[in-house]
Amino acid sequence: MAADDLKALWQGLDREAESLSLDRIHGLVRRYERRVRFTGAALAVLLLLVGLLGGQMLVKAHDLVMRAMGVLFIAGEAGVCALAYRTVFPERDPAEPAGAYLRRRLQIRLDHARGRWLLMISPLFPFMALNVYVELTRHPGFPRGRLTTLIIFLLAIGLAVVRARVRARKLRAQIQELDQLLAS
Amino acid sequence: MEAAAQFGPALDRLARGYEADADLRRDLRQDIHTELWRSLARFDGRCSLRTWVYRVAHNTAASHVLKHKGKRSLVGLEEIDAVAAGDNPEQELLERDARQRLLQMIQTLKPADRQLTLLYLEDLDAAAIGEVTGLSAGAIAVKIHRIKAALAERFKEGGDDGR
Repeated sequence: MAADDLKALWQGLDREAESLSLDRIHGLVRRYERRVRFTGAALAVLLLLVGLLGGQMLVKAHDLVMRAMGVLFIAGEAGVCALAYRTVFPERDPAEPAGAYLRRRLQIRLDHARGRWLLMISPLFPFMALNVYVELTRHPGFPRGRLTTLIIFLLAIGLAVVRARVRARKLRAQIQELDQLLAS
Repeated sequence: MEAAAQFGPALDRLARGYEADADLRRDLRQDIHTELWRSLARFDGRCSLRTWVYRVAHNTAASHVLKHKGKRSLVGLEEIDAVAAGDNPEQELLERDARQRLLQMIQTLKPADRQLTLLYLEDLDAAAIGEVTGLSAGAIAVKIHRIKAALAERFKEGGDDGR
């Protein structure tokens, strides 16, 4: 079959039965905009709840360390919410060249496979570090009953790391191939 | 709306090339039209309307594929024959018509190869494909050569419709 015949064959594909009317498209756009507004509102509510929780920690705090934990918790959650919003609704050029767009999306997936997602919760690290410090100083010694849980937890992390590395290798190969196409 | 009317059939075909599942394909078509509608407010004439529409559509479809890829393994043009040919070509030829085989072949390709194959089948020339994808002219020439070879290999089994 000649190339032109295949093009004609492709362009002669039957149209899908369901067609999208202008009203339907308007409805879809409105639904998308509602989702954006809802996500913003949901994050605001989450921030408010976290603020209340952190405020409660501050009120009940009986020493400087607990007050510091309350402040770090509130600040950390606010940071996580801001990063989450930017991740879910990133500023982008809708008509970015398709090859560059695909490369950027693959790079984001590769970064996540390499553990970049940790950046999302990084604003909470100071709170977590202080929490661990408090636990270790106020409850010294490792409880034997938690050993099994710890081993299972470490095995799960090990498995996740191996899977992420396999995924990263495949993504890297795709990115390298795209780079050659974009550069040559 | 002019863009949706003018490019509607091509966007339909694009969605079929990217998604085999009917429900997911309906979602993809809706996503493409939503993105297109939202993006056209920012259309600034830096490229042609056709290039803009294809860029938005392929970008939306690429996101869709990456999101829903699941356990499907995608291959490059070089490996397509082994995947699409099946164990019993004669039986396969009886059961499937050429369009289905073409669709199946396209849906198995990696996103980058799929973009190029779909644009080639839409009869865009190398310069237009370069505008949509941002790929270099040399790379597009090589890839189009491979696309033609892969298609010729898949559809060489005599008869006008590949049967």
